[in-house]
Amino acid sequence: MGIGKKPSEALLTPVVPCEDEASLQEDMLEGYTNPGWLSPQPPAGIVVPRNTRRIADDPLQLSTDHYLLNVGPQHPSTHGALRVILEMDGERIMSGEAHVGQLHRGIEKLAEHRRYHQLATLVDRADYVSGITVETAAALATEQLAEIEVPPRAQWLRCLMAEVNRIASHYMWIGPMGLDSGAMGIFLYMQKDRELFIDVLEEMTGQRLMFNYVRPGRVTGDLTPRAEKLLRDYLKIGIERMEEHWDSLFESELFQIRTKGIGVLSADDALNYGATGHVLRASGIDFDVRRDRPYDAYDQFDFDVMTRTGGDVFDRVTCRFDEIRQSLRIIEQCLDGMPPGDIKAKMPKVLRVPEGEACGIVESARGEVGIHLYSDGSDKPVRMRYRPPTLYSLGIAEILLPNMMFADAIVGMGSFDFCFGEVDR
Amino acid sequence: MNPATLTECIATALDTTGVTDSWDYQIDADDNLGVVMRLPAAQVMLVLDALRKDSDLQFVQLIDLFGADIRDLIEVTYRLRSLRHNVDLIIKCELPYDGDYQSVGHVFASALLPERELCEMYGLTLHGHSNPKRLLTIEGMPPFLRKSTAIRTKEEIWG
Repeated sequence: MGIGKKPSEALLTPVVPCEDEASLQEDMLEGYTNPGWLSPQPPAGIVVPRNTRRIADDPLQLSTDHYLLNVGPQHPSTHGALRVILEMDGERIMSGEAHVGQLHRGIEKLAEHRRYHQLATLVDRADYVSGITVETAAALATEQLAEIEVPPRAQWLRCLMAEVNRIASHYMWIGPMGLDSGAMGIFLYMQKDRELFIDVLEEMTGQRLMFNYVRPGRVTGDLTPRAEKLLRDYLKIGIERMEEHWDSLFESELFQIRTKGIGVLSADDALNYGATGHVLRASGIDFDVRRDRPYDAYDQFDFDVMTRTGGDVFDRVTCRFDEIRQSLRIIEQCLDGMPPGDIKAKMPKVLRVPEGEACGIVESARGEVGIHLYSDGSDKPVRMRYRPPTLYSLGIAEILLPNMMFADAIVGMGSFDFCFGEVDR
Repeated sequence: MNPATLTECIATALDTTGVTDSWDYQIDADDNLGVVMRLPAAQVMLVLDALRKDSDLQFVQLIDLFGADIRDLIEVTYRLRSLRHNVDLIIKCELPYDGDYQSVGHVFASALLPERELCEMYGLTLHGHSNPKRLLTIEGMPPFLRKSTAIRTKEEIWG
């Protein structure tokens, strides 16, 4: 089957033919005295591809004894260290409960024994896939407390590196989403593209994963010519490559069958369960911290906030895929308009901040990260709170699991992009 | 929405609920956090419910819930967000050590998981919760985020 082309009809074996479903139901029910079952209709606004409806209830009284199924913590599809206990009826999930804590390292407690410029090292270990953004949150909170003015060039560099890191993180997620839904190739292509952005991060920060780049009042490195060349080279081919990725994964009918109409999250539930980031935007709520609470230099860039209305897995994935394009736009504007000047504010060697509280919120790759600091006037925070966006997504996953098929649950949980470093901290 | 207007709106919203006449809260405007509201723990759920249902303010999201050990007391912080006005509100209440924490999970479902973490990390007892288990650690571990629980780092031993 060629990439982007429609598969032949024979490949799509119907589970239940949709068109004459009513007559089929009558056939199946003939002779049985249980006419009360009804197949739940797909929610309004969701277009389910033809011939993909599953048998939704129990027409022939085939339900079995429920059993418990343990998934994880080392199952590859759990993207980290998630353990889920599922109550199953055959292949259908009746209820699910997440067990977390395998990666708990007490980062919030350790932060109470670190100086303010050392917080970046710790929060890197919390969200180990998009470290720059969470470092920025820690730096913002400290700067609010200490009333530090950050030089414009440092602010622009933070935005540039945050977007580079966001793209690397999104690629790291969309590839395995393909694996979860049965597409092998896209993972390799995504890793190839991600490697370039990791190279840029390595060139700028000296590290490939734990960057330790954004500090209170400054960043640790200026834009190097090689990093700029790498980014400019990618910007030339970037949009074309995005089109290829789009065709090879999202245009595939098989991927659409696996993701459309699966794991539908309504806007009310998204708000009620504290969703942020792509989970909120895919359910139709238009909120992005970068635009609505601009920090650093984000008020000077021209970019769009991507939203969808369906709230299913497909919308969550495509919503984030479009964010990559917006990140590329921001990177281009950063490179074109980078202001000259210093990248460091004047700072004492040991930072002592006045007593008080401050909260720095940023749009991380997974949603809103907030670092809340309590200070008592010493050189160390009294309390650091890291708001993990995917902890709240985990609550959403628990309510979406019931009545899903097991294979759909793997795709559904993947669409939240859990990062257990930050759920457990 | 500036802090003064928000303060007025909150006062109006709480007065018109009719749940109780004896609201006992104080509101300050903090430079870093915005509007901070302090109230006794017994009234938290009523206030959260009233602010959520208020047709003008529409604090529809509980963004964050966490505790802090402020010596002799546990301070619990709720961060609410109104998308309509694009404003955040911080609500704080205080509980004694080993106190009872009443879940707000049926007002804001986003509180369900952080509440479990809060109660295990500060040694509080969780009431009114649908799944009142520990979240991150196993049974028998001390309440880690209390100041009285020591970790053995070089910094702590040598100052």
